[in-house]
Amino acid sequence: MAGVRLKEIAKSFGATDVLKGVSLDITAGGFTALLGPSGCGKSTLLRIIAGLETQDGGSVVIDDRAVDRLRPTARDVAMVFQTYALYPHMTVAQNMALPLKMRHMTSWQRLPLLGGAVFGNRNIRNTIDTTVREAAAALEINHLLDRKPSELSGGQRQRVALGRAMVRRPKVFLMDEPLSNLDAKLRVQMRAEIKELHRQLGITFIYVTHDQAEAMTMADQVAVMMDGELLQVAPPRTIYAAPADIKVATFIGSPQINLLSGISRHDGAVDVPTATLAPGATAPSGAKITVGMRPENLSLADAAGPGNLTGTVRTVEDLGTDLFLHLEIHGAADLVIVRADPARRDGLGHGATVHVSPRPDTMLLFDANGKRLAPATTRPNGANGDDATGSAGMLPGAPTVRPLPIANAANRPRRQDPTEPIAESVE
Amino acid sequence: MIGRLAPVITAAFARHAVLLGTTLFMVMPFVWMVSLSFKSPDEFFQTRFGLWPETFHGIENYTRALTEVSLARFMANGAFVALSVLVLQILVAAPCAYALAKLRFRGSEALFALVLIGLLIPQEVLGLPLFILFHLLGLLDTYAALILPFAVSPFAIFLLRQFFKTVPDDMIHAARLDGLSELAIVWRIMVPTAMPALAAFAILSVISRWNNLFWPSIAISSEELMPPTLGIVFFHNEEAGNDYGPLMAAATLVVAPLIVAFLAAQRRFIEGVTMTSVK
Ligand SMILES: Nc1ncnc2c1ncn2[C@@H]1O[C@H](COP(=O)(O)OP(=O)(O)OP(=O)(O)O)[C@@H](O)[C@H]1O
Ligand SMILES: [Mg+2]
Repeated sequence: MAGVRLKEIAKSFGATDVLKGVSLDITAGGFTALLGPSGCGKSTLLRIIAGLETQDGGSVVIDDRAVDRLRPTARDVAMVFQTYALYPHMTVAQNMALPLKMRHMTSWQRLPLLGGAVFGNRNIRNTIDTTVREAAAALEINHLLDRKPSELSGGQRQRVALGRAMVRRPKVFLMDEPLSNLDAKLRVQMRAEIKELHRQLGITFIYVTHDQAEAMTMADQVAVMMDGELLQVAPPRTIYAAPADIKVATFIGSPQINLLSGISRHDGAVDVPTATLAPGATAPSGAKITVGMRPENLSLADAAGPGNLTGTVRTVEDLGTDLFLHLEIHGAADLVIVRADPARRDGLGHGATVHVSPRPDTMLLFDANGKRLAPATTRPNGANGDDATGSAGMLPGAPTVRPLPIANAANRPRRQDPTEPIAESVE
Repeated sequence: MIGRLAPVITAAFARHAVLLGTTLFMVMPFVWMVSLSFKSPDEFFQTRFGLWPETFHGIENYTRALTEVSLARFMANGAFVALSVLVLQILVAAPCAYALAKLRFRGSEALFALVLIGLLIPQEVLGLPLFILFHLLGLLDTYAALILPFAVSPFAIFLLRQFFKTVPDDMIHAARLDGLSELAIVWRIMVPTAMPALAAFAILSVISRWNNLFWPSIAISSEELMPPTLGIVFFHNEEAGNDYGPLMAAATLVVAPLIVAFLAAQRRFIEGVTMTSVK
């Protein structure tokens, strides 16, 4: 098993710096997702690891050995490409057998006809054939072996590409947005299959994607990349609940995290438009602060209060499982999105005035540079004292003036959305 | 309905009329050649014009064409030269085109400009320098003199480069990871995917070798090395005089393989030509 270590990888194309000193430790046998918006340099980094592109600076270490001078084949990595890159003139079986033939047969043995008759390649051919058939069976494409890539659907091509990469048992498996050309349903199914493949092969996976749901559901380590820099490397849960940077916080989560700018007071509270919040992290008095609150950590309150935001409904999105309210908060730059229970839809039309209370433990504080202040989630529960009671309506079973709708909100089944790991951990 | 369709039908009719006219214009000499190859010498200079021979003289004409000169030998020469040239052209052009299309190296732009310039130079201009060169090398009047001057085809390099450009980089990356060397990538990946373009090129190349008269007439003097075109000229000078029937029979026999080959490969040819011009 092989870990991968990137040391200060730098790369520029002409005047543009695409990678600005990327350092990353990838544990052997782990599943690391490289997540970032389009054009941030993910594919470039992957190609550098594979040896398909040379870096301008820094070093790639695979299995404790610097591989910078090794050709792509000698690095023993395999890659699945976004466009699959299957060879159009070869059948599925030939596509999958090619890497094995190149590895295990001499150029004489590869000659058609002559190779078999003169150079005795029968045994090798049989072994290769068996390996290909086994891999095809594992991926459930054994009935497609004699077809050309042009006769396959997108999902089938995807499987063939996986098969071609896995037959030769590489040390490291690189994947560049392998699911982005599939439809939504197939994408969800393939996520599970790739995860299962990782479990079976037990080798190091590096998975590039711009789709946060893929990164969050599949990886055990997510590296968030923007503009050629790594902003945070952590398990998915931490990336979501405790983003190190405001850019990470906005990139992860759908709908986006709500951001309100405010000024911190000497007692630790923060003045934001229409409310004074007690986020529980400490900032110097008078500092300009941005408070981040995820839509599911906001809940409707019955009345105005010092810790409650007050706003006017601008848009209502009813997704069946969730109701998203877009609120205009007086004095705030952007609309604030709240997730509510669809059962409470009545009376929440356009123009209605609503009060919203944030769950205190979940508020994220960012300084003027966008770095997060003292992690809120590691703080012991209840430390924010009195202020917590101001938003008690959030807590399940907590006494409230009008119990019914709020109890509903708290007791309804949790969303089956895996990008929401914090939900259970807060109570 | 009919009123609406009328202009469409008229346009289609006009289009076909024009195409038919030009086709007749192109085909006429061929038809005339075939017709003459069946006529007796008396009919040649009659004032009456007719395609169908009055007395069928085909057997005599074709027998004379096949027996009086070694037409089979000329055609074998032509085939050998055309195929050797084609193989060499592809052997040289495919790696060049791959390098120009997909590898980043200093001077690649300048090299490609040279290829384009090579495309502009007519063969005839090179006649004299090539003649002197082959004289100095002592290769005049050999097969090598017929083959080597055409081994490097700027047109093949250009055509394949345009085609290779359309092959996605990821496919080459995949091939490198699969353990293919750069030359293996050329022969196992690029050339097979460029088959339509290669088929089109093969037809153009073989036709131009087969029909070329200029260079063989300079470089070849021995009868046993002559390609078909030169052979016919030789036949004309040696034997025919006013006897055009056997000459036309020989010409028909020489053109026939090309027409058969083209009809067989027509679909691939059109595929290759259109694919390269559309992309
Ligand atoms: N060969 C190249 N020459 C010049 N610029 C390049 C080259 N390859 C990539 N770039 C630039 O480098 C930047 C990063 O490209 P890269 O393909 O790594 O992005 P990415 O993160 O994979 O994006 P996506 O999610 O869209 O695939 C882009 O701005 C791109 O324009
Ligand atoms: Mg990419």
